[in-house]
Amino acid sequence: MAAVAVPDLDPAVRDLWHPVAALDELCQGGTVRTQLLDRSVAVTLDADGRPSARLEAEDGPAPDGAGGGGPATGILPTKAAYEFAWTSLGAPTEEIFAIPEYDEPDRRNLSAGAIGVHVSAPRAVENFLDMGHFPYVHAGILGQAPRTEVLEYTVEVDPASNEVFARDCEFFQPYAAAVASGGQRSLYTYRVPHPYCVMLYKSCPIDSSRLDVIGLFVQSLSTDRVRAHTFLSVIDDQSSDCDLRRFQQHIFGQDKPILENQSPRLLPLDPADESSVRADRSSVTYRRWLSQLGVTYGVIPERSPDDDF
Amino acid sequence: MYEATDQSGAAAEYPPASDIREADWHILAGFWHPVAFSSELADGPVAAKLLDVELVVYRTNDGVSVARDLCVHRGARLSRGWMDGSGDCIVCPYHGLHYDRSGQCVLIPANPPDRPPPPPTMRLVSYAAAERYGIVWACLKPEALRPLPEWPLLDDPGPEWVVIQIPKGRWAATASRHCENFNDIAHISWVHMKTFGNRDRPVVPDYTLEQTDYGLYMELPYVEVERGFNDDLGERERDVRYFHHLTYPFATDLRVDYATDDGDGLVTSHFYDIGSPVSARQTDIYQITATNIPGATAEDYVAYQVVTNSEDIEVVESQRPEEVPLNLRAEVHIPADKLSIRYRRDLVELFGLGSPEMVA
Repeated sequence: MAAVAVPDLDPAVRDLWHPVAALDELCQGGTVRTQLLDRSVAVTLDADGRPSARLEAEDGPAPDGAGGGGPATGILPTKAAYEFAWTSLGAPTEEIFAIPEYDEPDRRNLSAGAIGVHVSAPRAVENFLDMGHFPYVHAGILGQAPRTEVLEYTVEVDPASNEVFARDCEFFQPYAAAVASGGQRSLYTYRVPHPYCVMLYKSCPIDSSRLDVIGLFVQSLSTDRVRAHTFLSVIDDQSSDCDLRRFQQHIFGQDKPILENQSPRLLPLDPADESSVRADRSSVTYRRWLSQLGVTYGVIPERSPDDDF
Repeated sequence: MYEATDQSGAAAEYPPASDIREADWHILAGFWHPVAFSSELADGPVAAKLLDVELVVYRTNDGVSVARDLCVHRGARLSRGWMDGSGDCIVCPYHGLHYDRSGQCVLIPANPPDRPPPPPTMRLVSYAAAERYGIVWACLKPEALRPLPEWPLLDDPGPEWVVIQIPKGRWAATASRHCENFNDIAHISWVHMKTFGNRDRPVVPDYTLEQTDYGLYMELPYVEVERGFNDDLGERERDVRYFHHLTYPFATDLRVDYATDDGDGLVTSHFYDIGSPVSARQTDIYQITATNIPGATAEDYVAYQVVTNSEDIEVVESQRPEEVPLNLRAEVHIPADKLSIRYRRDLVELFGLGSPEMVA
């Protein structure tokens, strides 16, 4: 599998693995045509059930070595992981981030649907990290006025993994999950292991000793358009797949109009551009982390002091 | 009558994606323009666009406010929000931040109650707002170049007047083309043949035209054809006299005096018309009709105005160039265009609209 170098891509995201399709939306021999970072990508499932992605020649710049024009041209590195096909437009040096819970035998692992949103990937990630909007956007489900306060939580960039963690997050939720039967104080840990992917670990309504895992894997179609894939790894032997998906789709359906009306669509990384409040410490840390990683795709980069004349 | 809201946050900035020339934008931004009918605010805030600036218009207990449609916290659209229970604040739909009439953020619900109030820097970009004639007006500059139109009849109509708000329309045309058309006489006998036009009376006599402190005043007679809008007595000619008061840049009070059939009486209608420049080639049309014609109903007058507008829209949206050419040599003029010529000259000479090379 030859690595394909595509020019003019933000190097900070070019060499990452990106989700391009849920495995269960691929059928054997069929092809899903999609887009990643402005490039057209086709994903197919081979006879052994392995996905493979390639750059489509008709759009975007021709990949290196495209002169031959053979069928192998534009083949991209591809992996199946966590119910999704992942690919990269560069040469990924790292594995896809680990989700150890995925291998626990009593887990329900599933892709819970993709929603197209006219917003940048970092805006979608930041919204997922945010608790302050629960009583307003998800009233009656993930929050309820007058319980609007976001209690103090801790945020750090974990030095070992270079991932953002927000811990000890606590929020009263009237209806926290598909299986919930009443209000609960939910305990959350957020984890951002990838500029466009975010995980949430929350107390499981039916086994308080364990954590449900909800992931948002955002596929950047372009700088301001995404497919947001939801991933679940939960302990729940009651809800059907359909129930679990319906819950996630309902929640994300409430977020979509808010996200699509945010201005600007790209995430501003300069602290001067939007006013942050105390509850935004995870957002502030995420923005700073994106700056440090040098991400420029989907964001408005921080201005250097030289920009002020 | 109206009171400007706090201006400390107003950044009258030229919107980067605008097709309006920047020099013209800064001039037009200095006038009052309508952004909503007051009646639109009954159920909460509404979105508006003026000169390519996205606005939210809302009413608190203390009056109307106009601000950029943008929560300064995370860029959400405030026009998708709502008014709080007390009626003092607009609430952001994303995180519930509350902003008062001046645009100051007064509540951050995610904060613990013992936190100090939001800092003075946490405020919307608010603009001057006024409410008059059932219309909310905004000025994107801290100081307006000209006052609002003075239309005393609408401030206090007597019991003999029926005042009717016409449904707002959006025209794919510039405000200046719309305004010229509203004040144009020669087109009536050609364009308005479903309403009041008279194909047999195309001649426009020389008419009175005066420059005034608010703009232009024009007065002249016409012979309309009555086609059942004012009464059901059958199609016939009717002597009228037109009195145009054009308040710069885009607001007109057209008074029409109608001779009654017996020739002795006089009844009057005022057709108020304001074009609000949404973007370079889009204009929202705000119209109010006031009439003392006995038996006049809102239903009839709305229907009349809607048909009249539909006759005009077809022509005005087709005009090229879309902008009124401020260079007088760019179009051919006839004597009937006296008002239009003066209008174009004044836009240049009084306000500096149009680039220098366009000036005749």
